[in-house]
Amino acid sequence: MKHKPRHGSALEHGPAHEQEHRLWSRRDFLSASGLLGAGSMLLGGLPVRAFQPTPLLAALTAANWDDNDHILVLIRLDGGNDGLNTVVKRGSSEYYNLRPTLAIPDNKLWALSTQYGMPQETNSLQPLWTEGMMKCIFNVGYPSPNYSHFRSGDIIVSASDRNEVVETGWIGRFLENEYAAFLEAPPSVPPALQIGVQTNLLFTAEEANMALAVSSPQEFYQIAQTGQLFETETLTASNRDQELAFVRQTANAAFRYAETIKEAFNAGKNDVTYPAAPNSLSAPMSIIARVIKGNMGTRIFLVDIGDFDTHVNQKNNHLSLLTQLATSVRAFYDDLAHGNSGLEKKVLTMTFSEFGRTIYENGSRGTDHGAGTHTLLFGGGIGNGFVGDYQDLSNPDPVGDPPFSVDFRDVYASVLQDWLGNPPELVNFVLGKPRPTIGGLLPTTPPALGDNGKAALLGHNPHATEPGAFAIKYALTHGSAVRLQLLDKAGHALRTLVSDFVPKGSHTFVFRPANWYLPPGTYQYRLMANGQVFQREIRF
Amino acid sequence: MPAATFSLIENKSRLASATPALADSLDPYQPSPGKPWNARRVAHLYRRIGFGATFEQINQGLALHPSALVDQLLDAAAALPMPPVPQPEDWSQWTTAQYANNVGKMEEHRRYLRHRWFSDMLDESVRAKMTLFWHNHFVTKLYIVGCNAYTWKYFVLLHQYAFGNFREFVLAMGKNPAMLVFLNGNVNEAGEPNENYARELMELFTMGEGNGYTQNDVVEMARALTGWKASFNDCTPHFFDSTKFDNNPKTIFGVTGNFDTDSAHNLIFQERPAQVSEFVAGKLYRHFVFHDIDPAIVQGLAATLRANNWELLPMIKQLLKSEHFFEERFINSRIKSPMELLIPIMKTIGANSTTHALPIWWDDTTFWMDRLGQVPLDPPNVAGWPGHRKWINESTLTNRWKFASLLMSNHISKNEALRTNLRSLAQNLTNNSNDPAVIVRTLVDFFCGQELDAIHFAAAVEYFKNGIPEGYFTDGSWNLGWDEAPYQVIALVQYLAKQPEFQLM
Repeated sequence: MKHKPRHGSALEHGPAHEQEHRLWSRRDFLSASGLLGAGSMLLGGLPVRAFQPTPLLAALTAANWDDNDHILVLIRLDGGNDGLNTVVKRGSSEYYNLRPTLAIPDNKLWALSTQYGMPQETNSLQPLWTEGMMKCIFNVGYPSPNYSHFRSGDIIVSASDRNEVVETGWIGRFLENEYAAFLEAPPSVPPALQIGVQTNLLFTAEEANMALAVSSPQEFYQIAQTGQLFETETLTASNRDQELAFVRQTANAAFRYAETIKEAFNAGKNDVTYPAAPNSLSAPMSIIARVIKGNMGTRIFLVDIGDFDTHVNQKNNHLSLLTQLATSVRAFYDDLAHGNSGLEKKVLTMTFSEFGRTIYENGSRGTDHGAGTHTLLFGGGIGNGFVGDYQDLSNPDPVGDPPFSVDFRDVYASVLQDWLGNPPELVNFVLGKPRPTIGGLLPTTPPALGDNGKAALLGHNPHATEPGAFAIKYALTHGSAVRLQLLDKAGHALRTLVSDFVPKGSHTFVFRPANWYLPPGTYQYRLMANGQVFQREIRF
Repeated sequence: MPAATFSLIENKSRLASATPALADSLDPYQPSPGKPWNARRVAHLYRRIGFGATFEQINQGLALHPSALVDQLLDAAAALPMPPVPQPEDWSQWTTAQYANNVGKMEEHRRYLRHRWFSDMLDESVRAKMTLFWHNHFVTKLYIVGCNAYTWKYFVLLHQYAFGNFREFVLAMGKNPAMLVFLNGNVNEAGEPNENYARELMELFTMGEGNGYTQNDVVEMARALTGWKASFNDCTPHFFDSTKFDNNPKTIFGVTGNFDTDSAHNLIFQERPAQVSEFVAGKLYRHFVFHDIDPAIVQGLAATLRANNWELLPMIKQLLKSEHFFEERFINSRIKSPMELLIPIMKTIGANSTTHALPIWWDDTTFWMDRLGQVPLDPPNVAGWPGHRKWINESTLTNRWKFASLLMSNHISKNEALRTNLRSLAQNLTNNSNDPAVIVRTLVDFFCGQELDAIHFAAAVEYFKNGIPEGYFTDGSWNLGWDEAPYQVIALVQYLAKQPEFQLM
């Protein structure tokens, strides 16, 4: 059986290709600005350098998740990873028929189970699987897939519907709410770190890019070793170099993460040998392990590995990429777990890709753009196993793909809620609509309650002049729909005190229990604003 | 011109050996093997004399002798007609009474004037840069002057004398209603002198602080300048009221006479020619060459200014034609002003105001120039923008990055003609190469004028690839004809704009 190449095949620059690039061209080109952080805005007409954070802003600087120390590492497989050759359905005659040259014979697989296996080139993952540190989610995708690398990549990171253009990324929206005062009181720790130049949409929030984007491991090493963004040591006494030194020093001073990075890099160390070059994940993963071990405080990481767009002569090229992935991830977890640190249990790694590939091979021993693909999860304590349904390889429509099995947004919901410990309200906010979590995919973490010292809910005081009344204070860094509710001890909502759009700034709600017909006792109140949820106890 | 010869970057070995044997005087620069007339030097001239050059202009410049190119550019700029009156509504003589019945027009006309200047910088380039220089020399502030018609007269005056006679320029400025209002000449009356203008006339406009005058000279000069009336309340034409003129003898620089505005101005040039000529020559030197003055060069320029009876053009030509000006050590050694950051990005890719720049561009530009610290007609004070390193601090630097990024994404990427220009630029510069490293190296040359280190160069290449899967580059299928090539150049420029090298010119 031979199928025509399609979907942006490199061989035939047909209409699909043109279409793909036109779609992509609509992207906003605001590039990753993480390097400068947000500290470039004027506040009240004052340049930020002259701005001293108020105690309120200082309190808002830190994220609201300190009691959850889980970390998320995202590995983006650029180009569209071929799921079928990543996790193979063993003994499937359809598979071997669809892929006469590309199929991997059973004796070249290591067994995940009697039904599924992975190429032997990835057998460094075998210990992770057997020790319960690895899961596979089959056929992750979305309805009516788009086959453009760029458009589909944007859909995946913005968590939008197929026909919806969203200009922020799911992680960006999440972090914007974690760092409610990111612009006004920039943290000294990058909320996210990206090594590589692509996919900055993932971290784009409404007002800022939440990630520090370091273009390459080499650039990272320079920052980590010198504590500077741009080096000034080698400049000469020439006119030009003197001016250049001045600008570089100013840029270095504006780059507020340098010291944090340098400290973490020096405090951490790699305790295993990472795979040798060529391996494009090796250096980035070693950096991430090192700064995690050095307690940098960043919780979200992104690395890229490219070349998964395997239209031509896929087999060895793809196996080489999977080898890079497998050996780097293995080294990463060995490094984290070194000395029984237990760190491997705090770090979840997830692969994602803009789409999968056709289930059949094309005329040039490759595969073209397809629908869903498998997502791999790694991490201590997550167990092993499969989630979702493998692509249905029987009776494939020659121009269609088997429908996806797991919606990528449900994976995100599970990560946000179960792994990162966010309340469902926030998860809904980040994903734009309620999405179910996938039961059993990840160990659950209870949602963090708002911490009075660090959150937008500042707390309550007895009212200064009015006996029996309380002043409940909260601060918003953006105007937002606000709900302030009174709950009983068990968390059931009893009264809604505020349900309104409230402009940004500090606010006080005067709470008079008698007006709400509430008997004395112990209650909680909960603030929901800007996608964040905070809760405190109150007695009257 | 074959693309291979296009390089703004001086050969490194040549740089090393250049330092000892400098041909470094005001003599006209004669190209030589050691100091060639190449794209780098043509671009240097264009950046300093105006707001940069397109690929085509650089090629045209290479075909001329450096002196001939300087003559051509300056003669053309000096020969431009005076600015036509505002369009579509000629408000150049509107009084306050007229504005009273047209609420909102006041701001609209000010916006027009700012946009006009932005447009001129893009289109006229050389003259508009010179008027910006003189604006920063003879500062007025639109919102303090208050009267748009006065500021229009000021705007025209800057054009009239941009390359004209400095002595006449100073005198005309002393009688200009915007300046009369801004420095209180309009309330300087016999018996009630106001020293403000007299002091700045000597301190900031002609001689330099403490350079050849005394406090008594200021007092006496103020008396000589009495009698001028301009009302920013009414915005009616200014005039000389002889009844307010101090019609008594004054003693200035030790010379006694019944000086009035004209004769007192002449006295400055007559009694203090060395101070005045060296002061203005030094300021022009800093504008065109470098912030540290070379005293011998400036003295030479001052002599030229005096020898030409205060005509500015011969001095400016002498400087820009000189072998000193083309010395390697001055190329890319000056920190760009915000305007010098903004306009060249557009100018060098062939933008002009009629076809490419909508008013909304200029509104955004005003917004950003405010953050970067250079809104025309609004310098910080009478001393003007201090310039040089004062342009850059942590706030303005990061805002420069943002601004350049937004300029590319909000305006240039949305303009089809400019996207086409970007593609053509990359194609022309590289002989239509399909090697990203070659293209990036050449564009770094073009936009930064100097090389990036290996780490940042590698990152620049990645930005240029802009998410296009590697396979398209390695199998040779990608080329600059692709739909996204202009966007790739845009992504690259956005990245380059964040390099410290980009802040120099």
